[in-house]
Amino acid sequence: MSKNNANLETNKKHVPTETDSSSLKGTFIFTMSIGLFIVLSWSAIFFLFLNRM
Amino acid sequence: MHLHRYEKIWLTFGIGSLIIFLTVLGVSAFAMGHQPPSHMAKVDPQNVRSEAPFDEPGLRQIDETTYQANIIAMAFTYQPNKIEVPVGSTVRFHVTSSDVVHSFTIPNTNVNFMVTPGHINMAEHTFTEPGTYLVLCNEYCGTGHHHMQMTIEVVE
Ligand SMILES: [Cu+2]
Repeated sequence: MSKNNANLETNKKHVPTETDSSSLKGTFIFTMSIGLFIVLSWSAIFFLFLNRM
Repeated sequence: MHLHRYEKIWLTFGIGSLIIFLTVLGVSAFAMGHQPPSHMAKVDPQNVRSEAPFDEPGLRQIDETTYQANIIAMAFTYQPNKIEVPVGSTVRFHVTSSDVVHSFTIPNTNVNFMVTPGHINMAEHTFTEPGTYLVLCNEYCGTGHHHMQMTIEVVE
């Protein structure tokens, strides 16, 4: 038991420093792509409807 | 509350599209009178032929260019099976079913709706091109479903 605890203590030195996980760049690109897809498909159907009036 | 710059952008985009969508919907519903085809008009599905307007199925002229077509859909035909209107006419279709769910579909137009028993299903279309228009049932309604059709003649 005490031996394990000692190991944990030493491992603490290797705790990684703060990475860039808070970047929202990928999320942003993906969100806007989905948004663009929805807007384009909605508009296409809406203009088809208007053309057939 | 702290919002990331990107979050602000996509929230603005999302809320903006919601507003545009609801505006389009509101204008078409309240200003232009668009409604779901089955709306709230009801008819007794057991006695479709005994009361107006389906006691006399067919075409009725409302004014110079407007007609009302009262049509009964049934397995596997429509009654009447053929109507004729002059080009430029606006036809209001009032369709009900005397049995199961059918549909009333004129390809390449906005007339494409379910015909549900017990409801008077409505749609309106202005025929600007002369010709023969096919009407199809696109709700599977039984073994003769693929024979279920009628025609609209639009004449000069
Ligand atoms: Cu049918």
